Amino acid sequence: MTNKKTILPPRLLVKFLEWICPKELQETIIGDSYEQYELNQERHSGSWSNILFAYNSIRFCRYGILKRKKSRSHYNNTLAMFQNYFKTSIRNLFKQKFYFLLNTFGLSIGIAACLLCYLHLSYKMSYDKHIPNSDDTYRLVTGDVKGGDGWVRVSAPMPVKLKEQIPEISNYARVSNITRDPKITVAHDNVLFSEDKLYLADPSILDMFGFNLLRGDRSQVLSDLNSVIISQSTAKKYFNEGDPIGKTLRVDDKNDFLITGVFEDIPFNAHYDFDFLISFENLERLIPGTSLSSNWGQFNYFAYLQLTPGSSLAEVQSKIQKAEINIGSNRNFDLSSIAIQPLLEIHFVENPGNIKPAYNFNYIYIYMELLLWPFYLFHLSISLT
Amino acid sequence: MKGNYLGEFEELVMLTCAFLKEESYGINIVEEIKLKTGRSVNLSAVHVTLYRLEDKGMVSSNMGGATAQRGGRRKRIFQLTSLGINMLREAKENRESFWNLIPELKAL
Repeated sequence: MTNKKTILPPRLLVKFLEWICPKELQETIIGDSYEQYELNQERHSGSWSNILFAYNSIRFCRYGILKRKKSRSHYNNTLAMFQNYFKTSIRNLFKQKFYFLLNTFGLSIGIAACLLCYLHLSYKMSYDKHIPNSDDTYRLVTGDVKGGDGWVRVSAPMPVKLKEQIPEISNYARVSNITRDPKITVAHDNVLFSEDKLYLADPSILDMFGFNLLRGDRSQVLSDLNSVIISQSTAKKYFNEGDPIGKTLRVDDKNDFLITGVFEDIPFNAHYDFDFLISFENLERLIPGTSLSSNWGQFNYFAYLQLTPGSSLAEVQSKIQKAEINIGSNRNFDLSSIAIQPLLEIHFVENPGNIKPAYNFNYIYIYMELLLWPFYLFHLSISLT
Repeated sequence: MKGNYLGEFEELVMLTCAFLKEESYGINIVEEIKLKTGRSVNLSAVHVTLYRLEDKGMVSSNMGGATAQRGGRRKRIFQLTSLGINMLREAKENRESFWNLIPELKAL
């Protein structure tokens, strides 16, 4: 026994024990731990007893030990002051239970109202943010769009010709309702619904608006005149769990379209909402009296422009207004009246012709008024008593 | 305070304490409980219980001798106070009064 060299437990762990244990208990606790360590050395291997020592040290981190540690806060004046503040204010609050409850209730309503406002606004600000390059996407408009008195549709050939002339325009996509009245019947066999989100669109819209195609080949789905792509929920509506690809949809009881793709539903925080998309080239075929290449005065179609990154609105706009294009003699407008509107502004200005109503800022005032009412009531109830 | 009753573990520690007499300190109590009851208890649990019992005045402690095993640290020897002894006895009598009423009690 005397010659046997005693193996000591890891020093770091002993330091740890010293740190967690109160001064007056340190000696006995560490002494006992040492003894236990030695017992474990005899019973188990060396490394296992180290692990056991660590485990037992950690087990000393318990309330019964830690609470005995004299906290230094007793010697800290500032902390004592705050402790005193805390205590006296709690006592005061409980002395006046009614006002305490009233105030806390009012405060919590106020905080909840602020959070709701924040949620509401952050939701509104998220509109159209899912569109890739949303900062570089614009819409051709005319009139006083900022003031809410513009017209947000232009004629079909306009974006095509402008793209030929202006290098900043890297892509365009035209979108149009299929009829003047948006309601139209869509049938598959004897499943028939009245639909109002059926649009004609250039295939480029898939990339421009960042469509997530669940079925179908991106470059092919709209290349055929008789193709239609539908949203996920529409596919479920017509075919339930069945495979929609290759099925035929009869639109307006006249034209048959073959389903070539399914896209993920348009999120609600977008300024548009599509359930069916067919190629824009169908325009002349489906709507009599329209033209893809002439009829410059027929302002019926949304035209989205994708500009090269970093191009300035004012520059492109002036180029559009000065563009030398033969717009025919039968015209009621001038290119100088055409402007472009940033995509991210669309949701915030109400303009005639929009797909979905824009955000009405009066809502904010209504919400504020509603939120203020409880305060009025409390104020009254206090001042009247 | 919800009465000065002894917990089951407290009672066990106190009885071990009484049995070990001069040798009743932390690690010895752990080993003794293991030997007598086969129950593996953690050293920290015994320590906490002993300090709690000391707060309640059921045990008292004084510092014992140091040995080389402990890295030169002294032991804290615990012994029962008369209050502790009375409490133990009372607990035993309470139980016995019940056991006397049900001598036929046996596990099925």
